Amino acid sequence: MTSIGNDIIALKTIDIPRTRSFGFYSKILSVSEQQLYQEQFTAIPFELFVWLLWSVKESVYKCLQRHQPNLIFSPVKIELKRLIVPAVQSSSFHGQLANTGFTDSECFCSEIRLGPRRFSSRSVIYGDEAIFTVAQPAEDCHAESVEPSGADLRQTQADNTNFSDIHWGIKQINSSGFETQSAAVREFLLEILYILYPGRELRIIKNDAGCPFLFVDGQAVEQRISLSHHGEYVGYALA
Amino acid sequence: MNRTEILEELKKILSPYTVDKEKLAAINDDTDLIKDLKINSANLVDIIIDAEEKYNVEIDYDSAEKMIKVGSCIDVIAERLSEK
Repeated sequence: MTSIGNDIIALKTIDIPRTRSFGFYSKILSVSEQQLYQEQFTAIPFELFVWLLWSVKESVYKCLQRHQPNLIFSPVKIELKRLIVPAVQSSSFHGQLANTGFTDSECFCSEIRLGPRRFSSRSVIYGDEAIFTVAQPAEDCHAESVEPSGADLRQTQADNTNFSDIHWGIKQINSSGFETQSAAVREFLLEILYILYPGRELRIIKNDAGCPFLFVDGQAVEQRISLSHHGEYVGYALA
Repeated sequence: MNRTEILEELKKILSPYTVDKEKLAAINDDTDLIKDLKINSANLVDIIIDAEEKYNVEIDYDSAEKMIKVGSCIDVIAERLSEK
């Protein structure tokens, strides 16, 4: 299954006391993920851990939704099996950043399961601004042999899923209104698409499930794209 | 509390999370929270927590995952209220 999903969380919009309440986080984290946090990741502020996992799970959901339009998002059932914390913290991205590939030492590398399906993701937390995640089906994860509780998941080697050819971008915009976000993220993605498809007529069209597809000169192409927006931030992933 | 009363209360719960007040005023059972009301998925848990607080009920995650359309939101709330 070829697919891609991304998500962005505007950290200034999150409600920290609410995120820290059991009623809230228990609808996002499984019991084993809650234990995992207590056992191994308390150096990360809990609200950041909750929203990091939300971002990972939402990205995985978007991967699946491309092939299963009627799939219901059930965050607790999408389970983190492995998490590698970055050696280097990222700071601000200064309003806009477009990049290709990820440096594993600078991002959270996750392996995720939903039933028999396995996914891999890369996430970056930019200070107090945003969490950005890209997920795709896993090529060679270690999750088969690792249980979420009791085992040391703070390993240093990321899985072999190839993120090096993924183009991605994040941008701060001036409005959090839906229409502005939607237009801004398309315009942002088209900047790179026009480089990849010079002189062609490009359109980004969402299907009934809300998944974006690229049309070049009126024809749908296999290019994998994903869009996200939250608050005053927009993001894309392209492979 | 009947379904019409729950619907009216639900509009108040959803109001902070959508800018499209015209669509909000006209919601029905088939209205999709994300596709029709353009509510950001990151706010879905907020809506469930707000409903829990409003009705003093507990909505487990199995029920919460069904709350993607207005009709299913009303179903879940009505079911929890009937259990009180």
